[in-house]
Amino acid sequence: MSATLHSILSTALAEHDFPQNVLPPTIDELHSRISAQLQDEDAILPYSHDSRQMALVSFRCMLQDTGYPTEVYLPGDANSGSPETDWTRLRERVTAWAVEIPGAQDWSSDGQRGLAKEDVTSHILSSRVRDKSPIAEHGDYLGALIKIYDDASLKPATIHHFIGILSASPLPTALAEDENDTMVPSIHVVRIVPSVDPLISETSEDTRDALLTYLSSAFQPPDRLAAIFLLLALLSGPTARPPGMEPLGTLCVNFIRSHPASTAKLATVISSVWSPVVSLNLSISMLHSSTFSPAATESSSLAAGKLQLAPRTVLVVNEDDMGQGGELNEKALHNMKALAVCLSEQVVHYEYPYIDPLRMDCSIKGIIVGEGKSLLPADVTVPLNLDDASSTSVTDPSPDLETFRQYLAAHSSASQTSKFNMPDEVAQMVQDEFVRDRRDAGTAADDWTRAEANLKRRMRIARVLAVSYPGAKLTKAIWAEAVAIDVAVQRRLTQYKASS
Amino acid sequence: MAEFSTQDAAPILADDLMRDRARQFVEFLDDETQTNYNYREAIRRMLDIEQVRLIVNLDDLRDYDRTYADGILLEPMAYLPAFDAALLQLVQAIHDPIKHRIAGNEYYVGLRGSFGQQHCNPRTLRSHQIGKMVSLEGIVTRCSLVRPKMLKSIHYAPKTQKFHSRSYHDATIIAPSSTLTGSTTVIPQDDGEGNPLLMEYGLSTFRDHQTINIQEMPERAPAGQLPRGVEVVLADDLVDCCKPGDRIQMVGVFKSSGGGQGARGFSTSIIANNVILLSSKQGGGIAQSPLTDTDIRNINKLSKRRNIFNLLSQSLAPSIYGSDHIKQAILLLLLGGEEKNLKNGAHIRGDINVLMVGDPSTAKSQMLRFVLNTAPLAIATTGRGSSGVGLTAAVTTDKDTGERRLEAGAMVLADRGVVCIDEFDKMSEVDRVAIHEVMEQQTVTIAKAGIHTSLNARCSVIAAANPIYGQYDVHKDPHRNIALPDSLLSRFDLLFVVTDDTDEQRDRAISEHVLRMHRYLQPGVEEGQPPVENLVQHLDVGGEEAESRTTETPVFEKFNPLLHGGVTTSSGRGANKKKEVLSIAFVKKYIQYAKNRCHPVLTKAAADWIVSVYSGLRNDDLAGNQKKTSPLTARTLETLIRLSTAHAKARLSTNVDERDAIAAEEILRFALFKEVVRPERRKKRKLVNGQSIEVDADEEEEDVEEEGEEEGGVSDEQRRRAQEKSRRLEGDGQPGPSRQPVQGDDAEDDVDMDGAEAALAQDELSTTDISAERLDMFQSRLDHVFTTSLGADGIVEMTELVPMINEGLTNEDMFGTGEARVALEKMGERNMIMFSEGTVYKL
Repeated sequence: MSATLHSILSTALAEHDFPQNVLPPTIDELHSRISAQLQDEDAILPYSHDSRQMALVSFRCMLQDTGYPTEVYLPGDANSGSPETDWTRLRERVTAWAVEIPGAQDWSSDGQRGLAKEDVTSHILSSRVRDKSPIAEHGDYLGALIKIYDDASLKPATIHHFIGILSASPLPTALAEDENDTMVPSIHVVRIVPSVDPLISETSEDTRDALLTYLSSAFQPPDRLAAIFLLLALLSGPTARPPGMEPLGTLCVNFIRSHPASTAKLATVISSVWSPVVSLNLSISMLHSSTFSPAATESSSLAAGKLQLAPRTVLVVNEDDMGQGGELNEKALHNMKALAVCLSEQVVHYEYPYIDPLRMDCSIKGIIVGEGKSLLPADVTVPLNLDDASSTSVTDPSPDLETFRQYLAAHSSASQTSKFNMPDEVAQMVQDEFVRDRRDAGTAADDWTRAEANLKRRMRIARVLAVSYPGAKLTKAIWAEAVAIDVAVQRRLTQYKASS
Repeated sequence: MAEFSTQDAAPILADDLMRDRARQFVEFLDDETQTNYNYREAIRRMLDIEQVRLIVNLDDLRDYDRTYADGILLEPMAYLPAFDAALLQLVQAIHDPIKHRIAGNEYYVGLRGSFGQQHCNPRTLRSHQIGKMVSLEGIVTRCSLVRPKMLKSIHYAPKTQKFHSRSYHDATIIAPSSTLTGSTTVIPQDDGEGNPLLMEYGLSTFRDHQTINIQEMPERAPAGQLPRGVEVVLADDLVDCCKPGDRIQMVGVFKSSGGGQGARGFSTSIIANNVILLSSKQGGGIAQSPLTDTDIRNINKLSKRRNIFNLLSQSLAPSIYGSDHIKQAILLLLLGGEEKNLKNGAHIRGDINVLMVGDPSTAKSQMLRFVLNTAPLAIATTGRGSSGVGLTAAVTTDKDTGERRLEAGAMVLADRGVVCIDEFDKMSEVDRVAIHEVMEQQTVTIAKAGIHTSLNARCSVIAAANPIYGQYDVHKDPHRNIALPDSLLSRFDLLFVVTDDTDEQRDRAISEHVLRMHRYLQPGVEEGQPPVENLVQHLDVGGEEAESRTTETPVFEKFNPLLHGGVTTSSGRGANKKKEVLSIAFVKKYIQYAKNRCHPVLTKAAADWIVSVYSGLRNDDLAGNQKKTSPLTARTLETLIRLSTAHAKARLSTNVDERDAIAAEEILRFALFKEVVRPERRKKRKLVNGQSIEVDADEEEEDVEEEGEEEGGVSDEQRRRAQEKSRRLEGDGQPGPSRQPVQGDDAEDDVDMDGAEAALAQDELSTTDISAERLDMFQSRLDHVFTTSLGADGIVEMTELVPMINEGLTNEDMFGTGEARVALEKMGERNMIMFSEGTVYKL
């Protein structure tokens, strides 16, 4: 921190508008109180709609808009002692708009909803920031203007943990003539809590197996194969972005089922073990009415799109409401394209006036459910179990969710995915297999491309499958397993095509 | 604000200091002995063009006195008002009371030059820059309305009959803090003694005021970060100098206005001092480059050259090999015809529209890019990337107010400019129909959502399209290949079919040219090093533009065989012969000059020529292997007029002469039939020592033409060629041995032709009588013509008839116009035909 705690506190104090009847605390009082509270980070209350003004709060949030100009301020202790203002002491601070992490679950440390759902109406944020949350439509979300007294270079759609003093301040305006300033909550940051990677505890094979059993209960009837792909989708994520190619390590899965009831529990099951999870119910009217890409239209403030999501978010796209289809206009097509690009290239376009969209990397795990093959580019299409013969597997009545969460967190962490390696002999084997496939495939051009597509898909599956085991090493056994599940899925797909 | 430095100098009175500085600045501006600058002259020029801002190069000031340059940068509040005051003093001294009106004007100094550390962008603008002069670049994203701001109010107290004045300063005025004291923003209600005041609005001073938002350029922002914006205040003459979407470079004082205590924090903005529009490449405003006297002299000198048209057209896109006719068409498009607005409200289009259809990889898009970079205002779209309303205009609902408003599309924004549409064929049918109106009527009419209006869209369209199946199939009709409706095609003046023919010689030439281009290295770059990107920061603020203002643009590019391989225009003869290429900057200036200054009018000769060409083209039945690329309608006639007007502009001529019409015809014919006028390979007689020697004229082509046509007008040679062409054209229906041998390869034909010319000339003179044999012969020829060529309608102009009659006749037998007229009149008397006013009717 370039500014001392004392200086930040006095600035916050000086800038806070106290009501008439409230006597502002002195700086020394405040300083001693805050310093004492800062000793124990865990005891600091999370920021919520009920947080008191000038209280120390902790806020785990996603930065939504970092495009504000740096704000110039006069430190609060600058003119202590002399009546003259010392203009040389002007400083600048970084401001950004932060929102609660979209889709964060209550059980996770990211989850931070301060109040009961029915109480929201009394805490609606001003209309100027209404469109700045990716999921909340009417401003009933937790958001604050973050003021950082440090030279931070903030990127949009990243997760941060701030501890600071809650106050209120006007939103940075686009033009000076917008005089009717609206006050929004602001947090004077006194400490940025560094994010820590979860400890990778040794997980046993049993955990993985139990998790798969649990995940298969997401489908009615339970479906072990689908559960494997669900697990892989959860563990996937872009680990490398070779230029000119799609990122490596992603796996977008499309589940096809004949009736919505068979995946009714899917979102609940996923959100019980993973956070954040965001559901996106596609419908024709929704495609026309909402915007997917974040866009700064005329004002300087950036409106959030539905795709401005925190990294590692699971996006469950439900296509049921698309119904029998209908006409898509330009905006809807634009939205569909944004979603497709987001899932396949892991890139979100930020739209600014008069310039080409900015391409921002994102990391979103796509799971698509629908009654037919999706319009969106999915890596694997898995028709759910058509015959309910195998519905005998018993689900654990009291699953050990905490272990599952630890397992998933550990195996999708950067340290685990970066361990991935592929021994030479396996590479050689895969190569030989591909050559054999190509030779056997026949001469039709169709078959040729299919062999190539098979290899690509299997490599994707094998990569994530390897990561799901502790060693993250692509062994011959894992490759064989990847091929086996792929073959099983392809068989189902052929069946599905034949039956429909 | 940050006036700590003036406070440091407390013992010296601030007013004295300011007067002192103003004196120094006057000395600087008044100095006429320097070689680099002459601001006295600049002030005079500024007064002449009725501007109030003098652009001063900071580097000149630094040369003069470093402390003052630093003062301007670091303490603009203290130095800039002194500079302005100095300028005002000089203006008062220099101005011519008869010519210039300076009363009530405020004069400002605008800065350019090197800003060093003070050069930043919206991201690096920090608090230590507050109160200092900065320069930064960005994209204008939003402009507020222009509002007046009161500088000084005059009040009248009726009781005491006295006037009071009050001046107002706010944070948007650059002034030392001493003058700020005592000013309020409240309008006084009484004069302090309780007498009420009336405000005199007419006597008060107001000033224009506007705030704009500029945003960091995305290419300059660090990867993964959102672009930042900053607010800029424009005042007085700077108001409305840019519009949203422009890329600008600006100089101004970074100031903090008010605030400080309380929740509000500080609001900061930049008070603009000088705004420079960066190149209008991205479709910005029409940035006219200023023409100097030398430029105009060069332009006029060059326009006297005979081959100016070729020289200009070949200097366009030198990196593209060949495509000479398309380059000519693009030159004409850039010059444009003359638009007419008739009293009855009719508008006749002057802009030329060009469509290129052709195989992939025939440099069509390259041509578009070139136009985009050369035309003063050009907007690029692609067929896929733009919708009908995006091109014309859309009614949208304002998000905040719910009001409906118009949003101008690309073609409306390109009013008085060029719209480049790539992948024209990929545009959907519905969207294409939307531009029909724009292309001919040059307006966009909107009648929806309660808004009914008509917007001007006077733009040229240059479009590129691929044939229907990607490759042009020469065995099919052009119509089947192009697959665009006639209604649209007829709106294009010129339609070029660019085929990618395999012709070994041409392929070799092209590949050689392309390889040469690839061998080209940027100066200062070694082999294997990546080329220097054009993304360099403009550290020198306004350098480029100011340079073009002060230094003259070189007329010719240094001929570089690697870059300009395809160029054939040259000057000099023999050993001195050298190839020449005009510099693009000069071509731009030439076009700008020609487009704005020349308004040629059609001469009789040119009009006649155009009429004959048009009727010739329309009434032709084409030979089996000839297919027109676009339909021939009355619009074609206008096309000819436009093209010839543009050609006359290229010569800076005030008249559209016959030769302009001929050139227009040539281009039109090329576009219609891909017909190229055969190279003038002919033998020429030169009399040396009384003996005739045959010289192969090919090598001396240019020389001859220079000699022959520099006198202006149309040479006999050209006239003859054209006449022969029209004859050939009419003969197209019946090719065969009966055709008059023309432009032969041997000398005899030339003699024949000369003889024929002589005979014709002779005949034209003798309008007396006609012998019976000749009349009989004429009668039989006419019969033949009626049965073979004229077909059913049996009406023919005499001017057309005579060539038909003469077809296949020997020189001695040919009929002159006079003779034919007599013969026709005789026949008319005998009731064999009807002949009235030059038209022959078959009975």
